[in-house]
Amino acid sequence: MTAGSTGDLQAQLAALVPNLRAFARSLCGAADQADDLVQETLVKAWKSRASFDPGSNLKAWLFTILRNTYLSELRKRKYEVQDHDGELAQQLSVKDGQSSHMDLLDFTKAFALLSAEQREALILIGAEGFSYDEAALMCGCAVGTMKSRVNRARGKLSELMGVDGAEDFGSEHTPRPRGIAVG
Amino acid sequence: MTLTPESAPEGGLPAEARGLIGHQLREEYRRVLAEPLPDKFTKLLEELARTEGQSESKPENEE
Repeated sequence: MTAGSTGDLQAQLAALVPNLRAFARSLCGAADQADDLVQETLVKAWKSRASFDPGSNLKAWLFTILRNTYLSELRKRKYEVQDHDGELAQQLSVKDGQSSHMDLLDFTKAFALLSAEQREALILIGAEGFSYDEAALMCGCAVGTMKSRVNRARGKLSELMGVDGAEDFGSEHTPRPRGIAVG
Repeated sequence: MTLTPESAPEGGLPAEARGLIGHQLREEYRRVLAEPLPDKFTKLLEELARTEGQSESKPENEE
């Protein structure tokens, strides 16, 4: 490593902290756990900085460390597992019994009901703009798997939010006035 | 489902639904991105940089 690279890397890492926080929040939900995860990621990244290829994508490298850390911690049950499929699903099923149609969720609640893999896929592709190839590489899965995770995530969100049919795009979901020309 | 291939290029969702989901996803993500950064991150990075010269290349296990 050259003398200047330490400062460079420090600045580059600092610049990416907001992205790491947003990604971590998407994965583990709770803000304080997400910040712990980011700090752990920064320490790991710093310790293994010699293995980073300066010609490659630093954000992808950091995101990979973060998600690997999250998943291994999850396996160790260090983080409290978010009750994605339990509590909310129960609320839904209770309400389901009362009416024929499930109550629709807003985006945040619907997103929380996705699996960790689906949330991760959606964020990498839809929010961070990584390519399917890049995201697949980061998550250690096939490109086709990544595509189907994104599709399934979108499908489940649209179902939970009630936007899976064309007729659902009425006044509630369409902020834009239709066919009104403003001169 | 009576979706035409044009309206559902992939995943079986109409383009409008995908657009709406994508929009809300990015909006929510940007909201977190825009949150003020706690000092602890800057401090941690400074701390890491300070330890730089002291015990370089202690073998560390990586992911």
